[in-house]
Amino acid sequence: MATDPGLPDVTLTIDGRQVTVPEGTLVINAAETAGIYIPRFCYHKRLDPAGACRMCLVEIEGIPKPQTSCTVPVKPGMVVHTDTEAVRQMRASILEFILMHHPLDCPVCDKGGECDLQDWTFTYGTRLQRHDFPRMHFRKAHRIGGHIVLDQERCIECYRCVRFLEEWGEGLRFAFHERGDRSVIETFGGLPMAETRFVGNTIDLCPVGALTSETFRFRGRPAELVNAESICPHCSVGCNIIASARPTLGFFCRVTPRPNMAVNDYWICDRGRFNYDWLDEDRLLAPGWGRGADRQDGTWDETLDRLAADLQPPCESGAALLVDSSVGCEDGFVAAKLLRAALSSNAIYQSDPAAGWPGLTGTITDVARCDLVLAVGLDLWTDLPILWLRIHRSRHLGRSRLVSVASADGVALERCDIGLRVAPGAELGLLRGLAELRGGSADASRADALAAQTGADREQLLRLVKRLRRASRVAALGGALAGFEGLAEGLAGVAGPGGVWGIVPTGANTVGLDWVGVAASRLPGGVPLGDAKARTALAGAWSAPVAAEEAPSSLAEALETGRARRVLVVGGDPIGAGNDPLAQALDRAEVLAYVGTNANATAERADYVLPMAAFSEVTRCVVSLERRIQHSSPCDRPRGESRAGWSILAALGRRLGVGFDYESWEDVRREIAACHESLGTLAELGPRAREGAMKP
Amino acid sequence: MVSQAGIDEIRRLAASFPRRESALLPALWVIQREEGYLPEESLRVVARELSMEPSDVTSRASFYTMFALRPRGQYVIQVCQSISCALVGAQQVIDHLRGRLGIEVGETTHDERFTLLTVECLASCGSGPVMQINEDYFEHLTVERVDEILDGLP
Ligand code: SF4
Ligand code: SF4
Ligand code: FES
Ligand code: FES
Repeated sequence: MATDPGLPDVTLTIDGRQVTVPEGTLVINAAETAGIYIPRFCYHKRLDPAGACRMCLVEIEGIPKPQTSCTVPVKPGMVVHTDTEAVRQMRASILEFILMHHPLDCPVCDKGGECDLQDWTFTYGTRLQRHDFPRMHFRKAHRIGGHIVLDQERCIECYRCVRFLEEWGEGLRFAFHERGDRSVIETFGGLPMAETRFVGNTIDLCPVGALTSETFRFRGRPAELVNAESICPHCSVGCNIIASARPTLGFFCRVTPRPNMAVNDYWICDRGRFNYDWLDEDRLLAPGWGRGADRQDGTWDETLDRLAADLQPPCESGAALLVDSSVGCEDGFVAAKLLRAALSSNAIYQSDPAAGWPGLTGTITDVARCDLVLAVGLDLWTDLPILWLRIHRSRHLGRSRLVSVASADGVALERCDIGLRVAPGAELGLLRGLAELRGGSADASRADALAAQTGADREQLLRLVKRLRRASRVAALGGALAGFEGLAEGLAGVAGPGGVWGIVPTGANTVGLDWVGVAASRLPGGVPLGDAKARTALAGAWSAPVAAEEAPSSLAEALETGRARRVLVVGGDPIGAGNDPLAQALDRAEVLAYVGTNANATAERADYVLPMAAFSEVTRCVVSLERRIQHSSPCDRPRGESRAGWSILAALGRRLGVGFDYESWEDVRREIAACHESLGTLAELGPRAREGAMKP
Repeated sequence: MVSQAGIDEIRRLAASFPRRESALLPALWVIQREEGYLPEESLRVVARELSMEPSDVTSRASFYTMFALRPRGQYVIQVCQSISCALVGAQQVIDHLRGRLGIEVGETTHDERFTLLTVECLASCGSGPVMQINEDYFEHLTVERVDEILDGLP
């Protein structure tokens, strides 16, 4: 359990060693600070203690009976023994008891090799069982939804999974049923769960093979995996993950969380965990050209030569670039440089509409520490799950409230304390009104007027105003559903000085791409395009002219006005993404080149396909919604002939006569750093910067 | 399916607690009284009314042995098997019922007339063996008394 760092220290003795820890620390954790790891099944640092398994028993002088070290807080002068003959005997007995009805099917159990029960049995077990009655049997290999496979027989009733569900916001999607020796984990009616958000974490928490991953099942033993410290590419929270693959067999294996208390705590969401089939399925494996039936594969040289000839300036129809907001900084930087220096165009765009708007002024932790979080036009539960979870944790501990404002019914208005529905377009008016009501005198008639003006429910609004007036720190977060014009000012007004506010991007690297210059009106480092001195300096560094002409404000506009007819798409699937106006506009492109990972609608329509290695196959860096710069390492080899995005774009750039001399991602980062002083942090960041640095 | 009157009662119960889910056990009794057991659809209704996860409801309902999650016979026979009754012949009563009804403990006859259960002390230890049929007690049982009682049921 977390202890307040401000608490006084307590000194005690554990196995003859003096240990000093803050008051309230549990004996099990105090022992760990002294380098003594007490065996455990039910205890987990991020769950409330349960005392369910008895594996952590220790002897404490002056207390006649053995004590569960996971539930006993330290006391001054306490003398604890964790390694006596009696304690070892107790551990053996507990293991014998736990194994009484255990199926012992380790050879076919997915947990084998990373199973706490196996490990502790090898360390402390007796390897003998004295009972001769038959084992009880329960349901095996039962798919309970959420990509989880449940084996009821293997469950040792540690309650970790259900405590997680209760304490971290998902709710009891499954729970213990029956009692005594018949207790089993079960969903409602044994039916599969629908639409889970965080349940995948119970797989990691389960100390045995009772909860296993449907997508990883039988894909490899832990020792066979190649693991890498990576960053989840699915949203802007930037959860730290371990990505695992078996490159020799050619498939990706799994994603598990890598604890980072500043970002994702010990968790990831189910999207980040299970959404990886695209790494193995429908990949673009070879470069090629031609639409539909005319598509033919070629070599890299041939394909790039043809594309370069098609793009070669001068040419009356300009070029444009669309970068998916999940693409890494290296790829985005080289793509934008290609446009500015080789294709003399500033028509450079990202897929995330929040790109370029004022971002979050604080960190995720700052948001979670506010006593009121106001989310406007932002569906945190769906789009930024772990941000929701961090806020929810504060709610669970009674420290915070979450208020959601949206103009349409839906999940955004659920999963919060107050869900305020307003008329479409009334968000800004509401924010302004709230800012006044927060600071000024509490005047019920003003609140009434605001309710009438915004179409908000009067009672709900009054509750919100009351909360707001009482709140000492407010976070105001805005999203695309509210429209961006004027939003930032509105958010800042409600948050007030000392609060946290900002428009929250959703792309895994929206912030990073904007920073390295993937923006029509900003050069690397966020320097305005209009800054002639900066352009000259950049031209010097790149030994190439840098386009000065202002570009239209959106890609659709650039295409519709005919200012761009040759389009380079890097990552994502803009044609298949459901944005019809953009898809139609892209369809009018004369030349559409797609640098991407998968055979999707955009690849289908493209005149050139250039297969790109996926996030798990390259070294890259991304910047999260809180401006955390994070380094991501590969666990896998690029599929087929695919290559890192930056290397494809550099090869194209060289054919267009501009110097793009990179041997590795490090060279790219070095060049990024040279573009602007602020970008130095990004280049210095190597695999060892585990916490990530913050973008200045 | 639970009746509107049942739902109204559950709502009244929920409103009488500071936390709605505290009304769970009385709400389950409302269902069992109406339907004889706790059907899944009705448990969903309870979950909705008390703002609980459905599996949380079944978790608690299945913990308590006096709630039935499956349909039971018209007559639920519960025979005490605790020590005082055991000493004066509870096992003969149980065996006789198994033979006469042709079912094992925990089962229901095909005609859905009888469910046979064994329970712990019914708090009538001085007058064992004891069984309870639905809400009624029958004491000082012998095999013959059991036949008489069963024959006399409407
Ligand atoms: S399923 Fe796993 S985590 Fe859940 S109680 Fe059983 S052993 Fe513990
Ligand atoms: S919250 Fe976002 S970054 Fe974290 S695991 Fe989920 S999708 Fe990935
Ligand atoms: S770890 Fe202490 S009782 Fe389970
Ligand atoms: S022992 Fe049977 S009623 Fe008490």
